[in-house]
Amino acid sequence: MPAGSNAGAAAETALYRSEEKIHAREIDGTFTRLRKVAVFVLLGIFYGLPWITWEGRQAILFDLPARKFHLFDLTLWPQDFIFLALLLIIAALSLFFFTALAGRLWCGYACPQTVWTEVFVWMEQWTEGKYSQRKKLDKAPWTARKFLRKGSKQFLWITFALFTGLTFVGYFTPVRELLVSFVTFSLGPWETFWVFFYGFATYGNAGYMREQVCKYMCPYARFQSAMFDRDTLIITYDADRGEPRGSRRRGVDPQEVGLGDCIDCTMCVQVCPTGIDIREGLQYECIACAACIDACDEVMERMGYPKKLIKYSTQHAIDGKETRVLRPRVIVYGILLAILMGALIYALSQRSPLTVDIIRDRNALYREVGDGFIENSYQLKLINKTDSAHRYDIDVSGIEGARVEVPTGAIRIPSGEVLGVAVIVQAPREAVRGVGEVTFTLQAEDDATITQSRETKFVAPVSR
Amino acid sequence: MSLHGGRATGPDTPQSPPWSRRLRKIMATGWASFLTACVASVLFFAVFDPARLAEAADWPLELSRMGGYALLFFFFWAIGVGAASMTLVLMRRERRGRPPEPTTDKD
Repeated sequence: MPAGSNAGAAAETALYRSEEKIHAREIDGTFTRLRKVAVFVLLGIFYGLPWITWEGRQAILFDLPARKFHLFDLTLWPQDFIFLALLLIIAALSLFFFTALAGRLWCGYACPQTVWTEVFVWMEQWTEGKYSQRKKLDKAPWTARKFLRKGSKQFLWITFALFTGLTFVGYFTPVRELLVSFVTFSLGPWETFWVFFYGFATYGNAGYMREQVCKYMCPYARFQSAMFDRDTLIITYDADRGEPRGSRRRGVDPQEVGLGDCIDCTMCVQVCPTGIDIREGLQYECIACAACIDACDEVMERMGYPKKLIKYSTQHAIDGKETRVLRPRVIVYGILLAILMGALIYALSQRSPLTVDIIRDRNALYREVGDGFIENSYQLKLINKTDSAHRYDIDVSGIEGARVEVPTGAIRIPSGEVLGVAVIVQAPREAVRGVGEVTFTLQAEDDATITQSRETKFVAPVSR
Repeated sequence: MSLHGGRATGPDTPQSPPWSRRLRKIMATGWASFLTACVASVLFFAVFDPARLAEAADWPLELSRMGGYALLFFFFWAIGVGAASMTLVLMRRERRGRPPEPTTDKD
């Protein structure tokens, strides 16, 4: 916050001072710093990714108007939907895996709700000061100073939310052009709509609703306990050490006055974004942000007590038992995750730039044509999954003397299109008796790496 | 109906009031159906192209691809809100004017 801007009324300053005894410092500590790092890394990725250019185009672009997804070298079409489905399943399973292992890591450090709320709270603190000052400001009459502080907060919030909305749309529309048309007010109607929609959602969720979303709206908060067991990392209060709680003067030996280590300063409650008291045990409202750990550690340090009265621990550790990291639940989630990831990588590596499907003509098994040849007809369904149009050569093998003919002429498929082609194969009478195998090979004329083979049946009369 | 999240609460800094039941219902239905609408849209649009759907409509339908995406997303969302609200209505417990029925169910 800008220092010295509130040097106005002396009475006000005095009030702030008396409050400051309770809110000694803004919370700082290991986990607060960790959370800050997570915010910078995750938001850095979110805001940075659309700006990366790869071979002349945006590296990551979900081109909805053209219905194709660019991920660096990879271009995915709607036909590649299986990859997206796999990715979504992997994401869900990872969430289960990490929840079983370390509790609500997602909520505390990685959830967009938490991350954006964090940033919005920073902005609030820069412009309106600490919580006590903010409350005062809320009650104060609308002076120029209040207007300035509230106004600058709103300005920061709205600007940041709009930029967030713009970045979000930048994943779907080339972000550079988007920014230019945004500042020149020439944005298309749908882009405008989604920029404001996402911007408004960010503003509302991170500026106003905050952890109420976690308490009342988030489905994960309700079912995450199903992944928990007694070896899951949770935030706990060491009741054996802390109770009976009570205030005492500094330097007094707690054992002499019959007290535990908890001085009942309620710092842990005051810093809790969901407003719970961790000393009452694990509650579903706890998003495991660890703010109470940092707050309590600070108090313990000032009191000269050992830290970790509130700490990351497991139920087994609290009960004095051994904590097992590797347990059936974690192993099963881990194996499933490994299998799915392997499948995704394998499927991606096997992904062909050309898909060939062959359907035999259902009307006739075969036809006898002149000069001693048997003819079969097929319907080929071809998908060109590359970024450019190609012409393809078609060839058949597997039957001596077989020849292939495309009645419609050359096979040319634009980028990302599906083409149905009727194809005729003729083989000498003596080459096949009954059912034979024939292999179609398609090969791009201008790129030897784009090739695909498919085997199918060729039917001929059994006897002459 | 205060939307403001309670931050830094304590005895001398009372927490902003928790959401009312009514607001919680509105938000829960809205958000749950938003999430399902997102999933439904992804699945649906992976298979169908809104531009082709508009062409195939039985009556003249002027709809761009982007318009189709948005429209169907909100359509899915509206369906979700409808289903969730109906569930809420059906799950409503009897409260006023009647003695509570004996039940083993907790909620």
